[in-house]
Amino acid sequence: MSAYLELSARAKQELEAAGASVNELELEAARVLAWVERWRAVPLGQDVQSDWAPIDAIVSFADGMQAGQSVRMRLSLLLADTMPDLEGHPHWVAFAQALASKFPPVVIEIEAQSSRLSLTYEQLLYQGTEPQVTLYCEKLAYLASVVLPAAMRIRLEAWTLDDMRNLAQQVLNEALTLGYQQ
Amino acid sequence: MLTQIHAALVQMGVKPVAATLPEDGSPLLGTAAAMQWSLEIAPNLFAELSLMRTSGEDHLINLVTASESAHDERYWSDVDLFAREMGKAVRPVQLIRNDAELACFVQGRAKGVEGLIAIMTELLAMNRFALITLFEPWIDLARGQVDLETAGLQAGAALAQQSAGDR
Repeated sequence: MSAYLELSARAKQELEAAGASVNELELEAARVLAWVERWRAVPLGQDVQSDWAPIDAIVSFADGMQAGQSVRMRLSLLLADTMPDLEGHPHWVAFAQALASKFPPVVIEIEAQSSRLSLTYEQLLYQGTEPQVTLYCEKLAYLASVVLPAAMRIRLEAWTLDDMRNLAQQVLNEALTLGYQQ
Repeated sequence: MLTQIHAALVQMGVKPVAATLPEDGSPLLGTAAAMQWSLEIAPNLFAELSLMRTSGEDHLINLVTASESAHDERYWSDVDLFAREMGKAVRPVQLIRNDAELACFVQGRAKGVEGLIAIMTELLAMNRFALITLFEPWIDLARGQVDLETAGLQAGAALAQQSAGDR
């Protein structure tokens, strides 16, 4: 798992050049990793909120299908401090849109109430089918390791729109190699 | 199992028009095999249904309806805003724009033939609901035929009409 959360040497170099705090980002990545590791010990089917501020993770199972044969599972990962300046930022919107389109059903957005960066995985499950939460966590954690540094750089106005789109494509290529895309 | 699924699709009023079995070695996570159908879910409206076996010994089903309508980048900002805000009304179906392609996407997971058919029925119903209510105004918006406000009003009216029909 840690391989997916560590920042690459190139990423560190670029981030430092952009004036971002690499230590802070690594700390954030470590928190995601700790959260994923904790999930392995959590029984499935429970609502859980982690204690690792500023990262919260919420898994919910909601009925709501007319036929009553399926449940909707939603796994949300709320990342980092509030980022109200990202909301509506054209580079952020383009990046989130490009990345999310390559990793459905993950939704990447700024959470409306808290202005925190949010990754959500939502899926319909037939009752009796055990959700592979660990698998979803790994995918979200992998995406988080990309989205967080990208968000920081967008806030620093360090990347252009084309950079964002190129990054989304690079992530897709890497994910395909790692087997992390649906 | 594939025969039973095919029969179930026909029974649901969906016309399976093509089926393919991709080669092994696809990059899909934990996928030992995948099956794809092209479905005619309404006259001249096609969708792709894919079925994949996972490492968890259950199956993942993706249903996607797509249209190449968003060629004009000037409208992308409004198109994305519509997807983000109006799309909340049809979750877990997602409205996804990937460059010029506009897609309705929904995914489910099930174990066994009975579960697969049950969840497939729900996915198709959800997909149809999203198509009837949001897809058309979204496409019109992407083509510049309506503005954001009009698309929103049209979608809202369609959602209200469908919800009233459900009651």
